This record gives sequence, C-alpha cells and structure tokens, in this order.
Amino acid sequence: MSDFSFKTATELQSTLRDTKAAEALDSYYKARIEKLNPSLNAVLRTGHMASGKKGKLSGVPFLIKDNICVKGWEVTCASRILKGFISPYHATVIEKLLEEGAVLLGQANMDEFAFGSSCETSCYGPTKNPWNNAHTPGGSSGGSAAAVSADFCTMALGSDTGGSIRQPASLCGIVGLKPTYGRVSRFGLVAFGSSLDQIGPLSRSVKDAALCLGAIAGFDPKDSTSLDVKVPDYMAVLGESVKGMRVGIPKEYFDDSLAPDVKSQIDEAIQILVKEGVELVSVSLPHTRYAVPTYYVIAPSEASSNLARFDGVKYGLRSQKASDMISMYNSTREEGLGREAKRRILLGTYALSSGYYDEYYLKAMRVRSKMVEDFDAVFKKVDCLVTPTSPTGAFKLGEKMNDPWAMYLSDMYTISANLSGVPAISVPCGLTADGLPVGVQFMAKAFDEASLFKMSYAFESKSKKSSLRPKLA
Amino acid sequence: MDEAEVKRIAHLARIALSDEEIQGLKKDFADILGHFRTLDKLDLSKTPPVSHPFRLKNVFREDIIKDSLGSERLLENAPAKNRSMFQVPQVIENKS
Repeated sequence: MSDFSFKTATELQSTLRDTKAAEALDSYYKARIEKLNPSLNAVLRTGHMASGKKGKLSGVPFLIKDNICVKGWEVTCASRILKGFISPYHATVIEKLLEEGAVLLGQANMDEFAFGSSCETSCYGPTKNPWNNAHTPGGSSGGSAAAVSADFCTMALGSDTGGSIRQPASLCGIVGLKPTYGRVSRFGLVAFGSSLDQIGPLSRSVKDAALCLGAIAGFDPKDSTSLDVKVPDYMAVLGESVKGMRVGIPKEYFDDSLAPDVKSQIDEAIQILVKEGVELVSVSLPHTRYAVPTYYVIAPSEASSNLARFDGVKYGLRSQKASDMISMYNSTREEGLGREAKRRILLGTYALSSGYYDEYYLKAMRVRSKMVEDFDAVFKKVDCLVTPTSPTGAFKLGEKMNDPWAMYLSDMYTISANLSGVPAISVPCGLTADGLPVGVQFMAKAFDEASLFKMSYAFESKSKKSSLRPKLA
Repeated sequence: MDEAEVKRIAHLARIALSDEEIQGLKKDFADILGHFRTLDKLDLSKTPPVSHPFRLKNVFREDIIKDSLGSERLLENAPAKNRSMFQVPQVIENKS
C-alpha cells in the first residue's frame, strides 16, 4: 500500500488515477477519523459522495464545513435549531467539486452558524487543536482546519466572514485561503454576513489551495454577488519569480497586540521574502484599529436579518411548548440557539432598530468606506501585503468564552480583508515558544489571487514550514 | 442598556430569554457597546456609507422559467405540514 500520510492533493495526483489507490486513500482517512476523531471532535458526520468523473480533483477526498449544503446530507451549522435538516440541493461549490472528481468524506465541526473564533460554540462540543488538545483550533472553520492538520482528509472547505478560514488555518499549522468577495459562489452556503462571507479551501500546501480555487471559482447565476471576472490558471503562476515585487508591511499590524513569539516568526518570514528579491515598502492602513468594532456592528446586523429564517416553520427545530404563533417563534429560538448566536442576533437587532440605526449601522458603513479607501490607496503602491494572521498562537479551551470582546479581538488582523473584499491567505511560518503553529498572512488587491499564490508559494518553497506536523497519538 | 431594553430587543428578535440570560447579556452589551464608542473619534461627515465591498448596482438576468425543487421536496423538512402547506399554530384569535 502507498504511504498516504500527510500527502497533498498534488502529490497524490498520479497515484489517484488508479481507482484502487483512490479507494485505499478513502479507507486510510476513514481509519484515521475513527481512531483520532473521538479525542479531536473535528468531524461531525462521515459519508461518501463522488460523481466518478475525472477532473482537476480526481479522487481527492474533502471534508465540508457543516454550513455548506450537500444534497441528501444533514446540514446543521452546528446548531440545535437546524438538527435534522436534510439539504434538498447541492451548494454550487459542491457541484463543482463533484464535477472535478473530488470525493466527499463527510462534514466538519464549526462554531454555531460560524459565530466564534475557537470552534467552542458548536452544539456538538468543541473541536480540539491537533497540536495540543488543551487548546482550541481557532474558528469558526475549526473542524475543517483540525481535520486537515490531523490528516483526516486531503483538503477541506470552510467559510470566512471575518477570518474563519485563515485564523484556524494559522492556529492549526495549515494553509487557508479567503478568495476575493465575489470570486466563489455562495449559493448553498448558509448565510451569516452576506456582504462578507466567502467560501475557500483549507489545505496542506499553497499549491493545493490554488488547485482547489481553480476548481470552485467563477460566476454563478444563482449568486448575484458572484462576479463575472475571468478565472486565471492559478497553477501556472506558481514558481514564477517574485523578484522586484513590492511587498507592503502595514505598521498597524505590528503593534503591542502582537505576541513577541509570533512577531519573531513573521519577521523571519519577511526576511525570507527579502532574500527572494522582493522590495519591502513600509505602508499604513490608518483605519485598521476600527476594524473590530466596525465588523462587530456590521456582521451581527447582517446575521440578525439572515437568521430570521430560523423560526420553526420551514425546517429544523420547532418548540413543543408553544400554543400560539409568536410564542412558537420565541420558544423555538430560545431552545434552538446557543449563547453566542443569541448574543449576535440581539446585538444586530439593536444596531438596526429604530433610533439606533444611524448611531451604529450607518456609522459602521461609513467607517467601512474609509477602510475600502485605505486598501485602494495601498494597492496603488504595492503588489501584496504581509502581516500576521492572528495576534497569538492557539489559545486554551475556555480561555475567552466568558469575555466576548477578547474573543472578537483574535480576528483583528483578518477582518479588514472581509470588510474591503480583498483576497487573503494564511501560510504556516513557524511555531510559538509553546510549540504551537504561527501563520503569516498575505493580502492582494481584489481578484488578484494570482499574486497571492505566486508570493505565498515562493515563501512556502523556501521556508518549508508547511511541512511541520502535529505529534498525534 | 438596561433590563427593559434587553427585553425590548429580544422581543423584536423573537427570542425568549431566561432572567439569567438577560443579566448576562446586559453586562456583555455594556462592554461591547463601550468598544463601539471608539468609532465616535472619526469625522465621517463627508464619508458615504458602503453596504458592500464593491459598488455593485442592481444585478438583472433574463426572466427564464427553470425547473424548481417543488413544494413536496421542500416540505420534507417541515416540522409540521398539511397537504402542500406549512402548518403553524393558530394565528387568528377565537371569537369569544
């Protein structure tokens, strides 16, 4: 039998042309999940779905975040309110994966409705970090990130509203990509913040992320926010020289919030790029400090509207306590939603309510304008930005559960890319003093994932930090 | 935000809350809304709001009839149904 351990999709590609090898890989992952998932809780449900077609992802096994609809499978967003919901259709990304020959192995744990940065708000209990079970994997795509890190699948899909792909990728030592807003169809993704959400891959290499984006990107008539912009051949740019490319270092991302042992890894990463011949440019994104408060007005506002559909009428849970319509809504949502979901829906309802709209939501939309202008200006000067993905390594389970604002701050470096719509990728760049993974984030201008891949691939090839692995039992 | 305000918002959002939850949320919101105050430092008088990263205008498509899932399929997930309809608790009051 071939050695499948921690192989990337591109490494497996020739092996997987053989159907028997593809089946063996499937069994390899199933066995690992069976053995290791009881302690990690990264995978919620296993299954098997494939089209048998040949394409860019022939035989490549994926796990899917539990907020992306797979026809005939239960999809719950890790919430009690959606338990038992069987999706009657495929998300567009699922159709595209199957069309390109991918194999779906099951579904991954997440923060309830993607509300969280630690995978602890799941109604199925928290996912643990494969590098250290006392720590969180980050979130909200924590199950997807832990699963790729623990070698339960070759790649996973996640969704990123404020950092939910990149932050857990950073904390679990893998690659995570948030494509440009509008690059990938969200049809069939359960909506959280509709002006922010994007679907993207979590993988063990930049090359795999490029391969996957090439398969899932593109205009979709079913999602009117997906834009009709040509999808280039991302694989073709990998390995191109980055000599002379201008890399911006935004000073606001290197303030006191950044842990020293994370900063030292990012500094080393920047030095690797310098050796590759990039030109460093010191830049400023002056409204960065407003990103977290702006986001936590806008995202909960959109969420409060999007989650109004969970009312006990059409699908999922209905409270048995109620006698009339209004109390049916009230009790269903009381019983079905967790603490953070309630907190965010109420916060958003407040920010949108009569008398407070101008004070919160309208104001946040104006600050968002400023942030979009910051990025427009900076990308006139540089091809790419380099920053930390997260201010710290993986934090301990329970550490931030009683302090919502402390939890929100763990997204401080990732949120701006969602507010401004630009693509961003997190790539492993080393370990903290405690031996936990650190990720470096690259951002590029809208629809320029090609520069992002070129730069991060050049970095990864020299640093070789994507090959660091957790010590699992 | 006081207790009455938390209850008012919870009613708007149609979420019943326990007394313990109301107390917890009151505290959380005081903290979170305090952090939102940092946005007051900015002069935004000349800045237009954006609801979307790219200034998309209305997106239109041709009105072509396509296959849909059908009511039977969609009703499979309903907590309660009656023929081709979602069934809900009584909405109209009984005449007394």
